[in-house]
This record gives sequence, structure tokens and C-alpha cells, in this order.
Amino acid sequence: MLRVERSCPYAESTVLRIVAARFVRDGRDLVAPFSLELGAGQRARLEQPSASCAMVAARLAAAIVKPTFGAVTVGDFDSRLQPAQAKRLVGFVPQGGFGGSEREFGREIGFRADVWNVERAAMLREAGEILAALRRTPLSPATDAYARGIALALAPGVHLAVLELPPAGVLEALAALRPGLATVATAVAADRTAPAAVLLAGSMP
Amino acid sequence: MNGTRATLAIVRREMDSPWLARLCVGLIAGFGLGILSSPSGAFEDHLTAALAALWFAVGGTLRVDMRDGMYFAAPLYGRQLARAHALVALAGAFALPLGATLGWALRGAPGNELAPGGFAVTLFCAAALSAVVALSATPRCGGARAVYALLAVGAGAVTLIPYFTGLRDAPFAGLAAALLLGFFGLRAFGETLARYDPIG
Repeated sequence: MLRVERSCPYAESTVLRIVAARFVRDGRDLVAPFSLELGAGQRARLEQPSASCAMVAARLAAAIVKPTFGAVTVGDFDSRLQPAQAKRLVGFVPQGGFGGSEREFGREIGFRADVWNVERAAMLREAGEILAALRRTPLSPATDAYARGIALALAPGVHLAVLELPPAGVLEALAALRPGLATVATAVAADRTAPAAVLLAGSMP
Repeated sequence: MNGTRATLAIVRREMDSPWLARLCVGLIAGFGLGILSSPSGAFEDHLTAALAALWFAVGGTLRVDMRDGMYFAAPLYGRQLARAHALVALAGAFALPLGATLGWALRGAPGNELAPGGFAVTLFCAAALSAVVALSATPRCGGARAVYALLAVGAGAVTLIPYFTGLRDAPFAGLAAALLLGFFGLRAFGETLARYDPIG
């Protein structure tokens, strides 16, 4: 069984590398080609023309969907060749966060502890700490479901957080809570000519 | 990664209250069919039990929500997910045949069904194969989903043919067909999940 670790073995290297990734469905580009390199503590925003494109872009970065062209590497693992290893390093927060009851939240932590093969008690403690810290930030109560989604996603001790269309203030709160965590957030671009990936903190390769 | 721990976690998650309720319905329905059937092992009674078992197996499996994004965000291989869901689908599909078997045992004169060459083994094989093949319909929608559901019923029907045509050693022929087709069905489902992109 693995332990929940906060130290990041990728601190000196790239956590996420996206090279000309593009996602095509029915002959149409749902995600236009974009590249991004992210190290520990860096944050990026992926701007997409619509919510559905942002949804696909988030899943691309989280190694949940495979790029039609290009490559996505998390840590040392290619999302197409070693998806399970890549996903082990990623905490993915869907748009709605986690909307279940407190009891379901506890059950979900147990389920994730089993799937990620980490100690259940340690993961429960970790999720509780993250949630308590997020609830202390001046986020609106409406974002509580999203905060619970973040707690679930980060509790297994991941190195990359991918936030799908996070509510306002969440990205900043997470950066304050886990400054060493590489974070990608998707957003719907107001300006359709905007670049697909915007680095918010750190340096672009 | 600990595959067994993850597999059991998925199985527990899928065997929720509605699943258990369907299991009870299957057991009761099967028991009713078994106890009300003719002790002489009439063709119509066996055909009714077979159709009910196929319908129950395919219908129950189609309720699986493979598009639950959590499974695809987790560090799981397609084959792990496929195995875990197959265990749940098989357990669910066995409810009706198990209930029928209990009904036949309590009805008296169970030789037509529970003897080594009887109908019970064939019924279990048909339900199991239908459930495994129907799993491939769960990540799909529209026409493709309907085609896979029909394929599942057809695959189950294949295992029933030896029995209903009066073939000697029919249960063993049914078992062989179920094992062979079930292996390929499960493998195809695992590959589908490995390639699947959950984008709604």
C-alpha cells in the first residue's frame, strides 16, 4: 500500500508536458492544437471557445482522454501509452465538484483510497485538512461542492491538479493552499482569438 | 497498483441499493417461474424461463453507467474496469436462474432441470453470456447501444440452441459456447474501455 506523500518527485522537472495536442471528433477540432509545459508550483489556464471544448481540454490535460494528434505526458508517463500511471499523478476536479452528501463524501474517499491504493485513514485525514483549509478561505458558499471535489482529487497525494471550469477565486485559494502543486484550470475565453494556454505563474518554456 | 483492491472497490460501488433490489426481484421472479413450471419439464416453461433470464440479464447490465467520469479519471486499466463490471453483471444475471433453480428444487421432480444433462446449467450459461456481451453496450448510445443489446440476446440464445434442439450433452455444449464467446466479449469490452474517451 502506498502512503499519501506531499513531497513532489517532479519538483525539479516537468510535471505536465503537452506537445501540439489536438482533439478531433467527427472531423471537427474540439480542441485546437496547443502546447504547454508545467513544472511544480506553476499554474496555467487553458482558454477554450466554449464550455464543451473546455471540458475536453481539461480531460486532455488530466490524461482522461487521449489526444488525436500530439502528445500529453504527465510526469514520465505518456497518456496514450501508460494512462493508468499518468492518471495516478493527476487530481481531476469536474465542473460540478462533488455534489453528494457528507456520507457519500466519506464513501467516495474510501473508494478512491482503494483505487489509488493508499491508506484509507491517511487519505481521509488529508481530504479533511484540504476541505477545512478551503472552507477557511473567503470563497462563496456556492463553491462548497467544488471545494469537496478538490479535496477528493488532491487527497491521494497527486502532483498535478486539473480544474474544469473552476468558480472565481478557487484557483487562487488552491495556489495559497498548495503552492508546490502544478495546476491547470480551464476557462471559456471571452476573446476567441486568445491563446489556448496562458501561464499564470512560473515561466513558459 | 493493487488490482484486486481496486476491483473489489468498483464491485462494492456498483452493488448499490438499486442493484440489490433488482437482485431480489430476479430471485423472486425466477423462483416463481421455477415453482409454477410443469414437473414434466415442458418446452414452453423452459423457453419462458430462458427468455426471462436473457431479458433480465441484458436489462440489468444496461443499467450500468459506464459514462461515470470517475472511473476514467482513476488510475485504472480498461481491463481492470471490464473485469470488475463483469463480476457485477454476472452476479446480477445469475439472480433469475438461481431463483428458478430453487423453485425447481422445491417443486418436486427436479430431474429435468437439475440432473447433469438438465436445463439449469444451460440457463446459467445463457444469462452469463448475455450479461457479459451486453456490457459492451454500456459505454455506447443510440443505434450502437441497441445493436449491442440485440447481440447480447443473440449470444445468449446461441447457448440455448443445443438444449432446445435436443442435442446430446447440450449443457456442456452451452457451457463451451458461453466460455468461448464470453472470453471474446469481455476482451472486447476491456479494449473498448481502454480506447474510450469520456467526453459526454
